[in-house]
Amino acid sequence: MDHLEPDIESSLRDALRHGRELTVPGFTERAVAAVRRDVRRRRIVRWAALASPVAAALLLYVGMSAASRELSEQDLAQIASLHASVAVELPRLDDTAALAALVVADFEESVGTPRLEGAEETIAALVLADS
Amino acid sequence: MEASETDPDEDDRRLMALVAGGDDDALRMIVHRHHGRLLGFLTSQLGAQAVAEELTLEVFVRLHRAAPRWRPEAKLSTYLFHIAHNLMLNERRRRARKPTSPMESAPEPGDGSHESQRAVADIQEAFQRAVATLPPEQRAAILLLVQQDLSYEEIGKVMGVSVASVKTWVHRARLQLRKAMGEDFRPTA
Repeated sequence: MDHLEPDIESSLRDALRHGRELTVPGFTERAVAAVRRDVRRRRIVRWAALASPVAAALLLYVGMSAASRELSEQDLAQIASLHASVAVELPRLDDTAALAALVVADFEESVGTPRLEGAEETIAALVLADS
Repeated sequence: MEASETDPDEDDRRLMALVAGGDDDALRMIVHRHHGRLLGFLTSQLGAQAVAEELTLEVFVRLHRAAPRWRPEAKLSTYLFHIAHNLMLNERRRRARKPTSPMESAPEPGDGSHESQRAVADIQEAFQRAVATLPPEQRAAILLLVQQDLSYEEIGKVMGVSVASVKTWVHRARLQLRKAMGEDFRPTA
């Protein structure tokens, strides 16, 4: 390792040593305050990170419920129009058995299949699970 | 909170354990003990003390975040310089994207009233200017070695490079300083 000439080396050392340490009054308290701010900010970010998926899930749930309600009512209206000759009272959304019966009946009539054993119960269970 | 008079490194380890447990007094002690050198190093690197102060604050914020995971594999001061070095590199990159703000600011002239003081101040300023013109790696290496008294191994850890790289940078820095100061430097008889 080669060095500068001794005079230059010592002058370099002196010049750099001059700024080796800078003491700023009150710096310690500023640093502690900055750390506290950071702790608070990270706490808020953590809560936001937790709250966002919950809020999104809630919105999704509400949105999907409304959509499925609308869809079900449209389906029921369509089915009812197909069964115009029969007086059908539109069931409520939570009347899953009636809804399933209508869907199965409609499917059998349109496709021409024989009676689907257990289909009503299956659809009712699916609707219930979905809602 | 009392710092022991024995081994400062051991004391730092003890304080860090307390910081990890949320002890603000231990944090104060660490800041009080280390901020001067970090500030000196960053000011020499960046030329602007205000920016250096902001980065030094950020060093302690990062240290506090890392406290629960910190393992005393090296001296705390080495770890602090490592954080400071990385923040300084980020600051350089940030400023490089904003070419209007100058990276380096020449040291302000000294105010020595006597001739001899004036001469010493002139030499110091000439060296500081010469150091400021070094490439970033060379400047960091020579500052950590000469100004902050870190070993080559510690500088390697701070900069995340091998000892051989550090030695190469220091060697090149010395060559460049010799060249830069060869014309200006007139040793006193």
